[in-house]
Amino acid sequence: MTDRSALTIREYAPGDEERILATFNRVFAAVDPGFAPRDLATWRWLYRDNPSGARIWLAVDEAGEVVAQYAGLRQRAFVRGERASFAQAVDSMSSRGGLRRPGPFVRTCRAFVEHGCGEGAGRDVFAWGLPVPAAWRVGRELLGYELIRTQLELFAAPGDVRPESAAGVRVEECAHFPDEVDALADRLGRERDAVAVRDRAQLAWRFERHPRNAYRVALARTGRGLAGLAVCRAGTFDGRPGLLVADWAVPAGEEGARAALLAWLAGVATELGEAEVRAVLPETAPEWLPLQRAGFRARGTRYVLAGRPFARTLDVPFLRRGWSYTLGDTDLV
Amino acid sequence: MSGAKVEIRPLRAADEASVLGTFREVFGAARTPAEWRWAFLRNPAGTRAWVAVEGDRVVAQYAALPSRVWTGGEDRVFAQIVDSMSHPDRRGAGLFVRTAEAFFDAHGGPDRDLVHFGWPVERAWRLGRRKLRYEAVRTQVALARELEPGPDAVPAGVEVLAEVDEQARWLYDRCVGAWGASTVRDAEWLRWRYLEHPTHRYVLLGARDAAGVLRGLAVYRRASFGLPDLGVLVDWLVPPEEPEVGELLRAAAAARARADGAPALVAWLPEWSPWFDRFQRDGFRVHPTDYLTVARNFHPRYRMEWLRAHWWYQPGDSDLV
Repeated sequence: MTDRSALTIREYAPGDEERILATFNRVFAAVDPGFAPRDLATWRWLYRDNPSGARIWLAVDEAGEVVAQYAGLRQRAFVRGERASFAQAVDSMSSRGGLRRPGPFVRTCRAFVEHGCGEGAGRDVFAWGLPVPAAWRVGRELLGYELIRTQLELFAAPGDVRPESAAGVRVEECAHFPDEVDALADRLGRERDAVAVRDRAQLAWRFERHPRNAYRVALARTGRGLAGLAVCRAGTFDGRPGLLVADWAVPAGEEGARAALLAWLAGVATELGEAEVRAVLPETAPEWLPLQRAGFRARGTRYVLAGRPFARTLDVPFLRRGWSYTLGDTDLV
Repeated sequence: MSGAKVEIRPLRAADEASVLGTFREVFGAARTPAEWRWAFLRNPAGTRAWVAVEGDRVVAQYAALPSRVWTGGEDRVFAQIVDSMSHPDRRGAGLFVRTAEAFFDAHGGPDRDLVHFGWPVERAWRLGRRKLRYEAVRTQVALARELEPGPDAVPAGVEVLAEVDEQARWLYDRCVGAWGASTVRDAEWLRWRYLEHPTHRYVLLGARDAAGVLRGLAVYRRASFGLPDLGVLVDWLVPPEEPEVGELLRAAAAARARADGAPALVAWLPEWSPWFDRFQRDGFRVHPTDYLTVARNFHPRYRMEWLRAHWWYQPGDSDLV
C-alpha cells in the first residue's frame, strides 16, 4: 500500500536489512548517548534466526529509505496448555515525525496488527513490549495497548539468599542445552496459564548463540531427571549492575531444584563480585513469593509492561494474573 | 423507558433519597443516609457530584470524594471517583458519560482539580479508559506479613488516639518533603476520614516522645481487603528519617491485629518510599492485588509516570477500607 506522502507501507523483504540498520543506527544514536551501532550479524541473529520467527513492517520512501519500523520478535507460546504465538514489539522507530503523532510509525504499526495479529494460523494472539514513554503514549492512545503491569524486580545480596533444602538435587553448568529441556518446556506449558516455549531450539538461539552476550546456564537434576534450569549473566538493568537472572524454568513441585538453582545464582554472583542477584518476574508468578521467602526483596523499576490481546479468549486481566515471563523474554538482558 | 426530559446538574441535598434508591438498585446494597451525608455533605474538601435527573428521579451520578492535596508548594485538589453509576433502565442512553463530562467540565482543569483517580472494577475501568480518558498509574501491590505469636498489647510509647489536634499537621509537615503530592493529613481531614466515619471503626495509633510530641501515626482497622479479615494499616504517617518510630508503630499495629485475631497485617506503600524496603526488611512480603490504580490528570505535570513516582497515597485515600 502506498500512502499520500509516497511512503510504501509493506512487510519486510529479504534485502531490506541493510536499510533497516542504517535507519536504526541513525535514530537510536540520536536519542541514546551510549548507543552502540548494531551490525548485520546481530540483526540476522535477532530476526532471521529466531526459531519462533519475526514479523517486520516498514514504511519505505520512494528512494528506498526505511522511514519507520514496527517489528515483532515472535514467541511460540502455550496459552492454557494450547499452542499459540506471541509477538514482542522491539526496535520501534521512525525517522520522520517521531513516534508521537499519527504518521509513518503509526501507519506501520496498524499494518503490523492488521496483517499479523489475531486468531488463526500464523497470527499472533498477543503483542506486548516494554515501551519507552513516547512509544507507550502512541501504543495506548492509538493502538489499543493496555498496561499489563508496572514492573517490579526481585533482588538479593548473595549473602542474603537463603534457599530451602536442595537435598537430592545436582546442579551442573552446561555450555549447550540438552534435548531434555523440551520436556521441561512442555511441563511449564501445561501448568502455567500462559508462557513462552522454552525448548532447546529457543533457548539455544536466545542464549548460546547470542552474538554479544555470554550467559551461564545451570541445570538442576533429581533422580527423576531434569527438574529446572537457570540462566544468568552479569549486566546492567534499569541503570544498576548485578547478576541478572536471564531465565528461570522450574516447574511446580520442584522446590529442591529451586533451592539448588538459587544457591548456584548466589555462588555465581559471589564469584563475579556482583552485589546483587536480580530477577524480573510477574508478581503473580508462582516463584514470586518463594523467592521472597528465600531472601529476595522487591523494588520498582522504570518499566511498564504493555500489551494487547487479539484473541476472544484472552484479555488483559487473564494475562496479568497468568502470564509467566522472565527477563530473557525481553531484549533487555 | 421514560420520555421525561433529563437534566444534568450538580447534586443537591434534596437528591438524597433518590440517589440512595438508585445506588441500591445499581449496586444491590444499601448505602445509609449517614454514610451518604458523611461522604458528600460533610467532607471538609467539599462536594464533587453531578447527577442526571429525570423528573425527580436520579438516573445517573458521577461523583468523587475530593481531598486537599499539597503539591508544587500549594494546596490543590485530587478527587477519588466513587459511587458513579447509571440506573439499569437508562443504560445505553449515554447519560453516564454525559454526566461524567459535565463533572469534568465543572471540576477538572489546571486551575481546578488536578487529578481524578480511583480503583475501578474491570467493567468500570474499560469504560473509563475508552470514554473518560482514564489511564493506569500502577498495578497495585500490597505488603503483607503473616503474624507470628507475640504481644497483643500496644507497646509503651504508643497510645490509641481518641482525638487529633494541630500536632497532626506538624507531623504531616515533617513527612511531606519527599512527597510530590499527598493528601494533607491534618486534624480536620483525619477527624473526618477516620474518627467521624459513620460505619467503620479505625484505631489511630500515635507514637509520642517524652515531651508529648506526636512523632508518628498509624491508622489500623480490621477489614477484608483482598483477603478476609486482615489487619489493615489504613494510613501511615511517619517521617522516613525516623525508622525507630516506624518500628514501634508496626509493632503496635501487629499487636492490635493479634488482639483482633487477624492472621496478617497488610499495607500499601509506594515503591519509591523508603518504607517499601523497610517493611520488607521487617518481614513484609510484596503480594499482587486485583487493584489497578487509575487516574485522569488535568494538568500535564501530573501524567501517570509522574504520579507513579511522586504521589503518596494510602488505603485511607480510597473508600476500599
